[in-house]
Amino acid sequence: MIETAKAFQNGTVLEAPLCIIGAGPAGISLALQFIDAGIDVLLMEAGEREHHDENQTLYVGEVANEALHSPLDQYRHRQFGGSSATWGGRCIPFDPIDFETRDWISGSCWPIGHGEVAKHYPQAMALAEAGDPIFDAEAAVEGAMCPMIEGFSPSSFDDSSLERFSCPTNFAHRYGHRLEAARNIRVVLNANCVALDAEGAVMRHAEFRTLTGISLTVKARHFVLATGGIEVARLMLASRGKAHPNGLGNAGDQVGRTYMCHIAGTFGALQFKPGAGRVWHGYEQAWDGSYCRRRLALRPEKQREHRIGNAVLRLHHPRLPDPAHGRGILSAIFLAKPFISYEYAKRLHGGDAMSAGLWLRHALNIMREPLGTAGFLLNWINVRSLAARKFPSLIVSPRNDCYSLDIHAEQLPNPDSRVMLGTGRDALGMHQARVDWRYLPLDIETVRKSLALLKADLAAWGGADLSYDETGIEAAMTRDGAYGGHHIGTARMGVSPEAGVVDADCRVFGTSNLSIASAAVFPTSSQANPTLTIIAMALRLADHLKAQLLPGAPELSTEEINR
Amino acid sequence: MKVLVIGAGGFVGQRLVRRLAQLDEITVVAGLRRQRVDFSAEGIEQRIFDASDPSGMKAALQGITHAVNVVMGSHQAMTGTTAALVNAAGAQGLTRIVEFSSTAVFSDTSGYIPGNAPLGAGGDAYARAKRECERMIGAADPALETVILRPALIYGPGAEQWTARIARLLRQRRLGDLGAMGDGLANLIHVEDVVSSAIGALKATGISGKAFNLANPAPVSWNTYLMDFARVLGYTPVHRVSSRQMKLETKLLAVPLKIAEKLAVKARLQRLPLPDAITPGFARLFGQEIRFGDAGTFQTLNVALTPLDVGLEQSARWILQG
Repeated sequence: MIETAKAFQNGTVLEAPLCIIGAGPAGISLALQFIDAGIDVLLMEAGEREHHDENQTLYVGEVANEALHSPLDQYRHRQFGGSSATWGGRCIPFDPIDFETRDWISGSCWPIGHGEVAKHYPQAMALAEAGDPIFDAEAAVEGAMCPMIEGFSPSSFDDSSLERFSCPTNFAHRYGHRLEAARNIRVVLNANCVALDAEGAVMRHAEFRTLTGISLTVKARHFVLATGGIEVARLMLASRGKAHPNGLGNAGDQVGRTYMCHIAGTFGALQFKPGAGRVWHGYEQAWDGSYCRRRLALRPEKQREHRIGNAVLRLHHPRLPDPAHGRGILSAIFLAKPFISYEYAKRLHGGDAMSAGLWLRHALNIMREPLGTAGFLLNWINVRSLAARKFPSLIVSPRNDCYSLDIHAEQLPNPDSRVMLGTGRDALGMHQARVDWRYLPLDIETVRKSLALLKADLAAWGGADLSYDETGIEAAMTRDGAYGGHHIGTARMGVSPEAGVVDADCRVFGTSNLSIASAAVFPTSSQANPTLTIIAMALRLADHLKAQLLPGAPELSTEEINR
Repeated sequence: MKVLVIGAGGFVGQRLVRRLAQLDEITVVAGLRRQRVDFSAEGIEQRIFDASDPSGMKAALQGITHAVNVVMGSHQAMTGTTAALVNAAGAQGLTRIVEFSSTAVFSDTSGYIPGNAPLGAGGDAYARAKRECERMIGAADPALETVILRPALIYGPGAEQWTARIARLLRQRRLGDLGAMGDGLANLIHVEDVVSSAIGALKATGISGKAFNLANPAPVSWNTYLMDFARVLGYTPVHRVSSRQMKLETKLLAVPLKIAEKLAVKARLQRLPLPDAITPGFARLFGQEIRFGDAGTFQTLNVALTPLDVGLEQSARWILQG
């Protein structure tokens, strides 16, 4: 059933064996595993069924350097379904190398192997509605996908590695009806978690408040914090008590540290020579309708050889703000900026200022190919705006066979990149979050080396030239700041409380009954977007919790609690 | 065992007669209302009579030991046939009746519905007629063995509603991946499994007075059925149907399409290739979390169920080869 906390009596106490805090992709995926499983589950959600400004305002926070990080109420949604209300749907698994200890990357150790997560990817893909768990271009589409660059076999990159796309699925719209019908699941909306109360190792209860002033207490045998990476840190740091003076799970001063997004940007000019062969940077659909796209994934042996992080590169249309691309459709999208949501507009347009001259040059581009532009827009309405499974992104071939490169690279763990408590308080009296996002020289080096390796591969092939300003890499990769919406590493998984906030089972060190289902627990960020792995990790956690909570499960020993 | 199949001209009836004809221990008689099919050409005895007419029924049951009633039609045709059959049975030395009902008798329910669940109350004229027939069977002379079979949605080669119609709608991209609207359970049963169940119900001992729901005990979701069927038909990439598109179908298009269909029937133009209507009831079905099947039924009736992928491949072959 789905209820609103606003209808409860002030001081209501709710009890259930399992309480999940946060109904985004993680919380919903987790709760779905318990339908008819034999125990009652409370799924507490701060927002309502849809977006409301007053709820969203509770996400406002402080940013140390606004040039490097978006405002905290952007890219995350305080509503049923969480940020799946706005995500782009890109589903990519983490690579085996992401889980390895890489001696050149401090803090790169996951206490679990790739297989532990990979076995949950098929179900995660099904929940995300992103198609079969096949990420190989030769196998994903019947008869294999067409090559990205005909005749080009790069030695440093895998060009048959795929990204696949969700609809993108809004988890509340897709699975809300199943939670509503489930007799043992109780979704409580408008319930803002304001404190996690632990006494010693045991989480006794969690406190919730509505914006209308109603307080609720939840008592549970086990709690799961399933919010986004910024909110996980805020809640744990704000939950200070006698036994936890620095916040819950923060005895090792790890909570909020190693905050990672991704290092991303559009850069370079990849000019194909006449007759170089067919170039295809678009999408193909698998039998089930899901969109698939090739990219250039940096091979793990090259990462090891050059002691850098993980990265992928995609062929991209030329930068929109520069009217030299000559494409009416790109200019039309540039001029339509006021009508495009912040999250999508930011990376499409960069921070370029508009002038009358610039406006005119873009208008001329549109006038030069009015039919092509109109046709493109009509098709866009059909395959994107009106479609239930949306065409994932803008694909426009450049006029002159000159592409740019869209780079998405791993951000490496940096203890000085942090989510902390700010000085300001929200409408419920809670400290707002403060983000101080920082990157390392090695993050930029990953991009620099990846570009150099691609340049060398292209030179060896001879069909295209890659040119770029060597001195402009850092500026290009940080022009839009931290990649929006990927909030990773703020409660990292580690082998000990000194190395992390949660153990290999995602249980918070020093507590017996609090787990985290969030990108917050990822010790490293991979080249991959986090949502698919967030879901897979939530499914893995569901297995642990079932073994622990379902009737007949053994009680935890003191030794296990103190482990 | 001499078996009369009443309603032998129908979709299930024809298949049942031909399967029974292959069994050595059974002599089958095809009971037809009209000479729609000529079984005599296949060496099968046929008796043409009005099944809802008590005297016609009496004559048709001469020498018959077992009867299977698969009559489909109007309320009157179905209830009249069952009444005539039950009344005539005692006088004619009939030992067992296998009565075809439908899971439609459980309208307005949800969850798992076993064969011995109480019948529902609502539903359309078809559901009401089937309930009435079941009550008549229940009140038959206790010396007469009765078995009720309730097929759920019959699919497979030749199945118009749940195979041919679905295939047309998939090809027209009016059905496909239904997202949240298609999470309900597809309570399907392959037509050959229905026929095997009827044969099992004729032969099995110790099942008198029982009713069996015939549906896959482990039903897949409608999304799986629709998408897997589209895949084997080659209607790919499968279209994702938006809730907006479904609203357009059920709220705007369904009424005129249904009216056109009725007019065509009145004007005897059934063969007119009118688009199928997706009525609100039809669309609702895809979200219904109701389950009829249980594995025990098919053990009792000695039926090895056709796996869904095999059933879908046979269905696709039938559709694609016209």
